This record gives sequence, C-alpha cells and structure tokens, in this order.
Amino acid sequence: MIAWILGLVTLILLLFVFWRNASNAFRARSEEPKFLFLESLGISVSRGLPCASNHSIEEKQQ
Amino acid sequence: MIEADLHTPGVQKLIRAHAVAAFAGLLISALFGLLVSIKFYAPSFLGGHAWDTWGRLRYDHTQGILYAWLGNAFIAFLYYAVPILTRRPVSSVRLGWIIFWTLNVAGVLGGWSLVLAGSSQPLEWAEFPLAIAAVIEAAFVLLIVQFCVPFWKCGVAKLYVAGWYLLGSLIFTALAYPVGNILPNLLPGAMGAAFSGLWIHDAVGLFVTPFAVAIAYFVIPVVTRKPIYSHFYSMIGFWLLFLVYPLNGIHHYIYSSLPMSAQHASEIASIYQGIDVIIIVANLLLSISPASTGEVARDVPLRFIWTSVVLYLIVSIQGSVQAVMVFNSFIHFSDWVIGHSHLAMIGFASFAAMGGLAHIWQRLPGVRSSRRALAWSYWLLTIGLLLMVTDLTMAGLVQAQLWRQHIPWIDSVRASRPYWIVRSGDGYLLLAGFVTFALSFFTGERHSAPEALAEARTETNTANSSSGDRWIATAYGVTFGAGLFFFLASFTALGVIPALRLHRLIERTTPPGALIPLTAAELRGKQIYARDGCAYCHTQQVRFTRADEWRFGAPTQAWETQEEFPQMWGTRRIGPDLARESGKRSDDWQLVHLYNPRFTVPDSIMPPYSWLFEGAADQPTQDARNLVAYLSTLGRAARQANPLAEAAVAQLPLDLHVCAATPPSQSDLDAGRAVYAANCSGCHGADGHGRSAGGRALRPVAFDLAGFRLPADSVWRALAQGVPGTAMPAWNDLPGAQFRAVADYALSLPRTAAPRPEQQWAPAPVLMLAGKRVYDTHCVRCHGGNGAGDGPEANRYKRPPANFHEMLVSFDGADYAIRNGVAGSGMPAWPLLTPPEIQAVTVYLRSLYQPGASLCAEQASTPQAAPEATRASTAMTMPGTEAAP
Repeated sequence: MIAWILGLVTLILLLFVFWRNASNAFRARSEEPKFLFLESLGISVSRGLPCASNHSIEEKQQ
Repeated sequence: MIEADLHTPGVQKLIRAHAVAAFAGLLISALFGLLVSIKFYAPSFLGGHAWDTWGRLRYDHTQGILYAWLGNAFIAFLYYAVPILTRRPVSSVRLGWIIFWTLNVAGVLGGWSLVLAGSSQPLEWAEFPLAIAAVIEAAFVLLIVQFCVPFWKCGVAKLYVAGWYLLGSLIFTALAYPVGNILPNLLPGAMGAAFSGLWIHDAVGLFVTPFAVAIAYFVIPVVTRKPIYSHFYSMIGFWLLFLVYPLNGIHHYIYSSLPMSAQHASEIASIYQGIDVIIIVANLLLSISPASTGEVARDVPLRFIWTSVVLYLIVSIQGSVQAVMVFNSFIHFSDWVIGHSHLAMIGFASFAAMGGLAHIWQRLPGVRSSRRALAWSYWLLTIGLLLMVTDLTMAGLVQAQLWRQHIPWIDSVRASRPYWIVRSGDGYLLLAGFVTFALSFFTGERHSAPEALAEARTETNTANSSSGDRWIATAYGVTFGAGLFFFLASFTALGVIPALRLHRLIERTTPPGALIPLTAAELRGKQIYARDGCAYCHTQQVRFTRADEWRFGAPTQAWETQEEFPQMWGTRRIGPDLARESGKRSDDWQLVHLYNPRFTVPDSIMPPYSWLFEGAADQPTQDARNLVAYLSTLGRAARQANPLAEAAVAQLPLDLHVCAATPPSQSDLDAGRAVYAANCSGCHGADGHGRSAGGRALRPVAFDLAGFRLPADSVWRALAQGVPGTAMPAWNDLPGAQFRAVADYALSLPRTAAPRPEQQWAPAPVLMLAGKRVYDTHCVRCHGGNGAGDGPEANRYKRPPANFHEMLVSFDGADYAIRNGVAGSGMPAWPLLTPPEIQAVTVYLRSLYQPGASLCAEQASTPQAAPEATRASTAMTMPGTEAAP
C-alpha cells in the first residue's frame, strides 16, 4: 500500500511537471503568484528575473 | 509594511500578545531544558520534590517549546501574513483573543501545571494530559476558523506558496493531533506505538516544518525585494511534503515488533522525504544567493532564516540517513538523536520563527526593536547550537559504540558525563541567546509610525481570473484534496493496517496463561512510572538487534504488550531497557535504588525519588511499593512463557580460572579495585564490609566481603548469576578481564587472620571448648550440628543459613554479625553474648572451615564444555568468551 501511495504521489507531481513543460501558459501562471505577492506589498519586480523558468519562457518566445 | 485596513489595531494587539507569549514560552521552556540537562550530572540538583524531578521537567520542556514558543510565534506570524497573502482580514479579533487565552492559559499554563502536579501522558510530543490535549485540539480547530475563511474567500489560483504552507499546516495539524494524543490511550502496546510514531513525526513535519518554510518563503522575497526562484517548484516541494511526511512516522520504532513491511515503508518514505527537502532548500537558497548576499548580512531576521534553511537541509538529510535500518540499529536511543532533534527544533524551526517574528515586529508601529541585540542573539544562538549538536552527536557515537560492547551499561553513562557537562554549558549560551533575542524586542528605538503603506493590490486577483486560472485552481484544489486523502491513507497504511495485523498476530502467538493482569497496586505503580517520565530514560522494548538481545534478553514480542495502555516503549535510553526487569533484582534493591540510586550504583545519574519514602530507604510509602510492584511485572509475561530460559542460566559452567592456584598479581588487584569501586562499592562499601548506607538498607543487608572468606567458585557464581533471594544482581556483562579482576579483588578482601595472642581472652583450646558450647546453645538450630547450614530450622528462611565449611569467618566480621544480626536474613542479633563468648564461638566456627569443600576441585575433574542449547536459550554468554555483536 505504501508503494502505491508513493507511486501515486510521484505520478501526480510528474503530471504537474509535464503540464508545466508542455504549456507556456501554465508555466507563466504557475509563477504568477510570486510576482503578485511582491506587487501586493508595493514592491515592483521584473517578471523576467531571477526565476530560471522565466528565462526559458523568454527564450521560447524569442 | 503594516496595512491599516488589514492589520487593524486589534490584530496588531493580537500579534504583540502572541509574540510576548512566545518570548515567555521560549525562556521558560529553555529554562526547563537547562535544568533537565544539569540533572544529567547533578541528579540531586533541586531534588527532593516530586514536581521538579527530571521526568516532569522534561515533559514540560518539549511541550513548552512546541506550543508556548513555536505555537505562539507561528500564530503571531499568521496574524501578520494571512491578511497580506489573502488581501482579506482575519475572521474575528474576538475569536483571536479566545484562541489566545485558550492556548496560553488553559493549554500551556494548564498543561505545565498539571504535568508538574503529576498528571501527564508518557507519549513523546503528547505529554500534556488528555484534558489539555482536548483544549489544544479545540485551539487548532478555532485557528482553522480564524484563518481559513480568508483563504477560502481569496481563492487558490494565485495563492502564493507561503499561503499554501500556512493553510496546509492549519488543516493537517488539526487532523494529526488526535492521532498521537488520543489513539495510543485506546490502542495497547505495539498497536498504539504505530500511532504514536505517526504523531512524533507529524508534530515536526505537519505543524512545525510548514510554518517554518512558510516564513522563509514570505520573508526572503520581501527583504531581497526579488521574487523567489521558482514558484512552481516551491509548490512541488509543498505537495511532496504533505503527501510524504505522514508516511515517515514508524521510523521511530525500527527493529521493533511492528510489522516489518511498515518499518520498511517508513524507511523508504524517509529517504523520499530527503529528496523533497533538497527541492525546497535549493529553491529557497537560489532565491537568496548570490545577488542578495548583502541583504543576508545586513538584515538580521533574514540571517536567521537563511541559517534555518541551511540547517533544514542538514537536519533532513541526517534524518533520512538515521531512518536507514543499518544505521538506525547503531545510533537509535543515543544522544545522536537528541542532537538531531535540537538541530531541528532550534536550528531549523526556532531560527525560522525568530526570523519571522523579528521581521514582523520591525514592521509594527509603536514598538521598540534593537538590531544590535538581535545580532548578538544570532551569534550566541548559532555558536551555542553548533557546539551543542556537535557535543551530543559525539556523545551519541560514544554511547552507541559502548552499547555494542560487552561492558556494563553504567560504563556508557560514565563515558557520557563529560559530554553532558559540556551540553549544559552550551545550554547556558543558548539561554543567553534567547534572553538577548527577547530583549531585542523591548530595547532600542521605538517605531514612531508604520512604514509607508504598501500600494495595496486590489481584491481582484480572483475576479479577473481566466479559464487557465480556473484550471490551476481546480488542479491545486484537487491535489490539496488528494493530500487529505493521502493523510488518511497514511493513517490507514501505517496505523490501521499494522494494528490489524498486530491484532491477528497477537491472537495467534499469545502463549496460554502467560499474561497475568496487573493488580491494583501494579496499576498504580504504572501510573507513577508514567507521570514521572521513567520511560524517557528507560525504554521498554528489546529490539531485534544482536546488541539488544545480548544485553537485555529476548526481543519484545507484540503479544507481550497487549495490556499496555498507553505503550511506554520510549525513544531514548539513558538508563538500561527495563522490558526484562522482572526477576532481575530484588524488591529491596529496587526500593533502595529508588530512594537514592547512588546507594546501590555509585555512578548512577538517576534522580532520587525520596518523596516516595518516609525519610529512609527502608521506610517506603505505598506509592514506592506500588512502583516496585509494577517494575516486577516488566517482562513477567515473557518469563511465564519461557521459564526454561531462566533455569538454564543456573546451569552455566564454572570458569576454571577462579580455581587457579596462582595468586593474582598486584596489577590484577589494582584493576579489580577500580572495577569494585565503580560497580560494587555502593552496596558493599569502599572497604568491603557492606556497611554503606545502601548496603545497610538492603534486605538481607549487603554481604560483608571483608569479614568472610568465600570459596572462589561461590564468588564466581554470585558475580555471574547473582544471588537468588538477595539484591545481588548478575554481573555477566562485565568484560572478561574486569570480571576476573573484580573476582580476584573480592577474594583478596577478607581479613581473616587469627588475633594476636595478647588479644585472645584465653588460650586457644579453652576458647575452642567455650565456643562449641556457645554454638551448640545458640547456633545449631539453623546452622546445623556440623556447621553446614542444614539445621532443623534452616528451611524457614529464603536464603539458607551460612555453611561454615565453605566460609572462613574473620573475628571482626563475626563480631559485627553476632552483635547486630544480619537484617533481612534469619540471623538475629545476640546482644547478650559477651566479647569472650563471641571470640570463642568465632574460633570454633573457623575450625569448621574446609578449604577443599568448594566446587573447584569437583569441576576441575569434569569437562568444561557448555551445552550450546543452553547458551542459545538463555541468550547469555560466558564472561570473557563472548563475541562482539
């Protein structure tokens, strides 16, 4: 049973990872909260850096 | 950064109240811990009262850290962070005060007081009594009402990861808390241990860890003014933490009688958990470094949090390694684990809580804060913690190594003493750090007004949601629901299923007639054992490891534990395991040991339980008798099931060394004297006369080794097997060289020379005749006509009267025994005998001595092979011939 639970957990998380890699929209949206959090505190941030994922989004968009 | 509309004055007051309660809780709990640490090398320190004994202070130490300190610190952080994360106010300030008073007055103060008064549970991280557990659970439920409503209104599609951690912690803690606090009272022994194990880990994994990680995810981007490295991977870490952490619990009971499949599962889950922590920590550290290292240096709260994150990685990898069975068999129960838990609770959790508290305090209007004091506290705490963890880790390695050697348990206690003294020194540093930390909140400049209000984000972050947001919200919501399912699954997989399997196993394996229900006195003794924390030093589970089997006997089977409500298996060994205590020692030894452990074990660090006595070791109260009655039941079921094992111990062959004609060298005797002083002098006294406080309190009193010469084989048997009917235990765990040395030394003690002529009351023939007349008048009924201890009344006594054919009497020893009697044996005092009569009867007794009457000559003529079957059944090895486990 434990093996099944660990397997299911891994599967669910891998699904998220695959979804993120397959969808630029998901990738952007999954990173959105960290920007909103800082913006809500009045801290303006560049949405390009320093997150590695945003690097790759920009590269793909180019 | 306080926002007036979200952090109303009422909420700010709540933050301040919880922060102050957290400081008080931290200082008091740390003081409890420091007192506990001092008692390791000064066991009578502040002693003599029930309320300040080691066990009760230890209970309050851990519960105080968990609820008074971390609980309040986390709640203060919740009041600050949740309105920012959700853009919604908390449910109700009034509810906030209800939670505050419920947690702190009814929960913490009530729990501390009840524990000190003797009402508690012997369950790790669940020591407050059940009534208090109910109060704390109620507080957790109210916290859900207070903080989950804003989360619910806000929606989850754009919820920042810190909010997820806070939400998860609130819900999962409320679910997990009853598992460890209530269920072990309903399920016995091994079955209850399965659930205890879950809570031991969930308290750290589902309550403390998510709050600490949430603080890190909240503070780091605010101070560095940069977003975290990856929000997506922060969520992966979050899911993995909540889905896998509950599966770890049973790794606290590896090599126990819990189903091996559950043990392996916890081992694998623990390793998996380490991978999760690597993901979380990598994400956090990448969010700080290298561009933001300046902030870490300048901002002391961030410095606390950065240190916490680094130590989180170290302590988690350490935890994963500890769960690996091979390593666990080595270091479990030792101070290594205590070092690990202090690294987790101070280095990771408390540092994060301190960073979080300091961060929000600096943003509250109208309060003081001193950066300098905060920086001082950081260095005091960091240095104190690193020294303490290093010290305890080294102590643990030493203990683990010594426990695997064939030496007495007390040797590991002696070897640990320097480490325990250093640990207290580190404790002073930590306490100084905590005091400085608290002072930093009440000194320094006062914040005149709130900092510039943030440009508040409007409450539209869910209003303008797109279909993609809805998908994410759905996916996250489903995964959170799956987390709840997995929590229930872990509860089933590591609690319910092992319990059911154990139930079937117990039904199948319980030997008929082996279990004897505890009497009322034994049950009362068990309550005393539980309330005073005995299980926190003495485990009650012999593990399935070679070292345990050699030292303590057969491993604890699940069926033996079916009457234990709750189980007291324990997770730490300072004293020896007691699962096989039944029949090992006499009741009077236990009583004397309880009154003052140093009376019987000179180097013992066990606290005295003198309040269980009426002023003297031989005047126990009913509570002391009840406690000893309970001790005599530990392992009784196993003895009932296998009486042959005990009988076989007496069949062990004689070591012919003791019959050797060659006298020991002076160096042998010196070595023996050292062993004697360390292990035997408590009862037999430094001079061997047995007239020490401990020796005189025993019944029968300790044997006068200096006054009576015994044959070598008697000394050997007493050392190897103990002396039935007396307090003399077996010393078969002494290494062979020490065993022989102390036997030689004991044989060298008697001063049995004849008196000089001028000291004699009459010529020897006259004394002889007079002595025989005294003997025939007073002694013959017990000691027999020929002095062999077989008189007509000999059978009246548990211990047979002395056999003077095998025992050479000294004049001093005989004089003392005849004048005072031998308390606890059949030998009365003979106060009316005159000194000349005593000398005369001693001369006569000495004439009965037959040096060749011992078993040495008899055994020397027979082969010495020990039956292998006997060795196997007793799990006992001949001293000096054992192989390392």
